Amino acid sequence: MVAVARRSVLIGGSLGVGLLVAGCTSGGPSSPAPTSPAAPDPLLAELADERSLIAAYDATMARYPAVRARLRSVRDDHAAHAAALVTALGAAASSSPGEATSSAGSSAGSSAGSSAGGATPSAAPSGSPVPATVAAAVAVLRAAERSAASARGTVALTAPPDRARLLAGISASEASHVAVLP
Amino acid sequence: MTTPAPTPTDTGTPSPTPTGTGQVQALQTGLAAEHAVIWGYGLVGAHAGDALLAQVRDDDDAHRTLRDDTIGLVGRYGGDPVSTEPEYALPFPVTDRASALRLAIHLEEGAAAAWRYAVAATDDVEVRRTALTALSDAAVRATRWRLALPTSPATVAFPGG
Repeated sequence: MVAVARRSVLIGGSLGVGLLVAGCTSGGPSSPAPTSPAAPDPLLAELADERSLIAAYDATMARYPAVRARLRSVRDDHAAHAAALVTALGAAASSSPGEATSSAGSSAGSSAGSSAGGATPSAAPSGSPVPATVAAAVAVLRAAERSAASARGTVALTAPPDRARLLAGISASEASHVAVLP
Repeated sequence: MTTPAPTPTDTGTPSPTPTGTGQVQALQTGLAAEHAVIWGYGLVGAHAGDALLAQVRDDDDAHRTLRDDTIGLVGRYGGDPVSTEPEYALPFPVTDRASALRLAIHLEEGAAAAWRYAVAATDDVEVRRTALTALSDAAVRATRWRLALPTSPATVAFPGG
C-alpha cells in the first residue's frame, strides 16, 4: 500500500488537535443551554429549518416518485443535520417538539430516511403545497437549499468553535445539494 | 502542525482585525491543503480524459486563485506562508479515468477537511468567511466529481468529516 499523502497526514494531525482545542475551550458538543427565560438558543431556528426541509423533501418525494431516488440521499443528509443539531442543543432541544432521535451522524439519518418515506414528520410545520410540476417542485427545493446554506453559514461566522464547525459543515453540505437537484 | 514564526519585518500593512485570534494557523492549514490539491490536480488532468479537461482546468484555476489569495492573507496577518512540498505521496495508484476522478474527490475532501478545521480555529469573522467559502466550494466540487465518476451518494452530510 502506498503511504497516505504526507500532507494529508499533517492535515489529519491538525484536525485532531483542533478538535481537542475546541473541546477544551468550549466544553464539548453540548454548549451551555440557558435555563433562564433568556433568548432562545439560536440553534433552535436552524433545527426548525432542517425539519421544514425534511418535510418538503418528504412531500415532494410522495408526490413525484420519479425523482424519489434522487432526493432520498439529500433528505437523509438533512436528517443527519437535524440529529447533529439536536445533539449540539442538548437539553435545549427538548424545548421544541421534535423527533426522538438524539444520536448524531449518518446512521441516524439513514434510519430515519428508510423508515419515514412519506410519513408525517412530527415536528415539521405543514409547509406550502408541492408545486404542480416536478420541475417547479425541484426548483423550490433548490432555492430552499441555497437559503439554508446561507443561513447556516451566517450563524457559523460568529458561533463558538464547536458550533461553527457543525454549522459550516451543514452549510457546505447544503451548497452541494444544489448540484445534485435535477 | 506547522507554526512558522511570525515575521517581525513589517510591510506597512496593519493587521486587519487585531482583536481576532488564530487567523494565521487557520489560514496556514488551508494553504497547506491547497498546495497539495494543486499538485494532485496535475495528475488528475493527465488521466481524466479530454471530456473532463475543462472541469479539471476550472477546478485547478479555482484552487490556484484561492492559494494566491490565502498567501496574501497569511502575510497580512503577520505569518510566513507555508510552501508547497516538492512531492506528495498518493493514497492509491492513479492510472486511468476512474482513479483520476477518485483522486479529484479525495483532493476536494481533503481541502474541505482543512477549511472546516480553519473555520473553528479562528474567531476572526473575515477569516471564517474565507474558510467557509472555501469549504463550500470544495464540497460542491467533490459532488460534481462524484456525479462525473459516477458514484452514489453524490453528497455527504458533513463535508470535511
